[in-house]
Amino acid sequence: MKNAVLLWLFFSVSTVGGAAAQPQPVDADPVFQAMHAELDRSKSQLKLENMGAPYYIDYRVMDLDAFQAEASYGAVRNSVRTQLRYVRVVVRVGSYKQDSVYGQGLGMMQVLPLDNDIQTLRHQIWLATDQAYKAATEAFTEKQAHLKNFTVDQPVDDFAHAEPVRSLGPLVRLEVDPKPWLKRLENASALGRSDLQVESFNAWLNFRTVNRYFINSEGSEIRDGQSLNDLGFAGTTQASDGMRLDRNWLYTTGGVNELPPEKEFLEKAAGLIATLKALREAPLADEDYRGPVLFSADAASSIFADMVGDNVLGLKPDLGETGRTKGDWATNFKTRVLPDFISVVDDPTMASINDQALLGHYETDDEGVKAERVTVIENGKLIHYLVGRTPIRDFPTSNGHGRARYPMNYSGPSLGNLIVKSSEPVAHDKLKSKLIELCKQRDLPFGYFVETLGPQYSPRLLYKVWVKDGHEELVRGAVFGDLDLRSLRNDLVAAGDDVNVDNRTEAIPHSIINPSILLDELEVKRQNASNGKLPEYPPPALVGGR
Amino acid sequence: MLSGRAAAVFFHEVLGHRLEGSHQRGEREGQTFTKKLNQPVLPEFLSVIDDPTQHLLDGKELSGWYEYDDEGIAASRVDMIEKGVLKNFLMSRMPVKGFDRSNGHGRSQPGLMPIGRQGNLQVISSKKVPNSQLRQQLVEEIKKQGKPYGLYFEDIQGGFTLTQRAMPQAFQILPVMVWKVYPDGKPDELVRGVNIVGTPIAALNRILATGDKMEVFNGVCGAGSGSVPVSASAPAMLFSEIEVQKQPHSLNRPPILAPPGFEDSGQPGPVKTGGAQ
Repeated sequence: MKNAVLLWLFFSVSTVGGAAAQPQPVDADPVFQAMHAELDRSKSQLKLENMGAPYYIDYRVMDLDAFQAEASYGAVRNSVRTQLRYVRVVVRVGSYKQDSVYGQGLGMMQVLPLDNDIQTLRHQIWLATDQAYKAATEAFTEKQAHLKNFTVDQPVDDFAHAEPVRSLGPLVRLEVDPKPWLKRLENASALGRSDLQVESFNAWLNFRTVNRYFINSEGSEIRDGQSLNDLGFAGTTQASDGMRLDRNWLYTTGGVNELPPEKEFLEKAAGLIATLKALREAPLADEDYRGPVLFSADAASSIFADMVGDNVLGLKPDLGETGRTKGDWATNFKTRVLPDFISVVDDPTMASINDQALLGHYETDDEGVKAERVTVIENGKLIHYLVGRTPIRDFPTSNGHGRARYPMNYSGPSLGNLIVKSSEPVAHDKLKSKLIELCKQRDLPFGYFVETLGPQYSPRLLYKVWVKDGHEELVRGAVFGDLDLRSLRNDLVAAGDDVNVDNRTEAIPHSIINPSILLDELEVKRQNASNGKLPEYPPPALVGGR
Repeated sequence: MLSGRAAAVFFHEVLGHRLEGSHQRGEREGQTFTKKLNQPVLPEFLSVIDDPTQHLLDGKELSGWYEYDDEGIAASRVDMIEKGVLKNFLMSRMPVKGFDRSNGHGRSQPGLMPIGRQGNLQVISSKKVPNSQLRQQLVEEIKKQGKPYGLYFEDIQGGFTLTQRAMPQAFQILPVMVWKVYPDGKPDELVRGVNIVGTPIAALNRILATGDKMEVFNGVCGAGSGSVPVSASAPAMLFSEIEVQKQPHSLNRPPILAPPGFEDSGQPGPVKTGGAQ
């Protein structure tokens, strides 16, 4: 398996991934030629008898090249190169006011040939357009029938007008020599052998380039490429009482050469293994605690991503529903949702912050609209939503946030670079003393500091910070009792001056940028989970086994 | 009349799956043949074996070949039906009453639990006539039964069967090339949209004669223990009666615009210009 993949990649010579290829003139780009040829004749001829002709058509081609590999305990388990090219065709019948986007009318996808043969590219686009148009006419009729069941007080248009955009960037190519990377995964995962009580230790990578072509019947023409690189490792162990303990670490960058050198990567992996041992030996968290909790900027990023990020998206409610959006903040427009000193913007036009590249950067969204900086929360008050070309009440036009989740979903409002900022930043190292101060006021012997979170806000590295001398003690097995939108609005009392950049590739590249935060009250309790028994007999002796 | 390949798949579905050991055990299983041991289940001129040790049949490779099964048991030839009489089942290491040992047919796709499965199924006939003569017998049978035409199943894409009690013990064979054969000498007519259906015991006893040339169908069989490579081989067969039913099909319109490259043809759809048509 491994050898076969290496042979596959023999043509790769450079170790630089995601290199910019020579920009190809648009007229000579076979993908564009095929797209234009089919768009032109579909615009002028596509029509069923007694049905409306399309008023809008767009084609989006995504050209994906990915190299994924994984190693466990020093050996590669999986190494795959994938190349795929899709087209998504959206055909709208009706009008901007009311159209066919409903049910099956969300467009059609086809897999395109990788060869740049114009005729075969056109063939698949032709079939997808035909299917999309027929589905649209059916959906349009169905939607009109469905709408007859509802009274609609404040009708909102189905599709926003937008200026045509022409933006042609260079394509990117995945140029990666797998050998040194597989070796690096082996070296990192082999570190798991240093601790016999580590039950699994894996290192993996997922390098990919995505080239995007977009044209629509309004005259937009966009081409760009993005390189996305994930490199990480994960380990699990069990404490003597059987509690399962997990850690993982992920580097995410826009270029392979922005990833850390091997030495740094291995040191990070060794450090993570050390935390698995420390966690195994750590005491259990107290059964009950209600008091101040300090979140590092890293730990706070998933809170902001889920609680703020998901709820500032202007997702249009389902047919007949009267809300402004689908999120929890559907009814909070112009009301306070966070403390006065917090403001939040989403700015996809920013390529970097403090010299750190932002993955949520893009020039135009997947609906052919230029990206805009949007202040969504100003001094704690929700003043704007992120919207694409599907309007919601009071937001009739796109602010360039209509993006498609991979591989080829229908586009909708999505995050770009979500930046959380405090107007009263507290020096980052002062936050700990502030935590102790709050504990003193309430006669608490200790407070909690969260360094990093796992899934569902489960703390992975959680420390008691003792009031008497300020020392930190790692504990395990805790969960938060009531971490929700209300606690974020009412109990967030301070934010740091530090900036953490969390670059995320799933489900769409975006970045969360935020400081550390202090909540003056939060419930921290012992997790209520069953603990499996430890393995019956010791692991095969791996150390020195080779 | 079924071609050898069609007859091979027919036997794989109708008979082969019902002779797999695991289907003889358990209250949910149809157990069509469990109690028929040492009784006739086929016409006397037919025998059925499964031989995973055989690589080739008349020079053609058999994809159900293996030396050891997925439970570490050496593969062996099993004579399931001798001169129409049921004698044996395809066994994994899961015993059934009267058969307490594996005969090397415990198979599975990687990661699944093996059960008794087919390998290289072969239907062997002692009532063979040349294929041209079999066709003549078909025409005579059509006349005898007073039918306007008979059917010749030339090629098939596969089939499936149900072996659990909760569902009818039925099978379906999915042909791709089916011809109407007329008794009056009119040329054969290609037809579409028809499947073979039926129930095993009824179908297996309507075989009148077979051709003299074995044909091989190599394929991948999916069942309880996943997908495994198998083959089935049989001669062409003449049935006195077979039930068919219409295939489902959609009435979707063909594409509205002509395909790319044929835009100037003036009408939708491809225009054929020479070459193979």
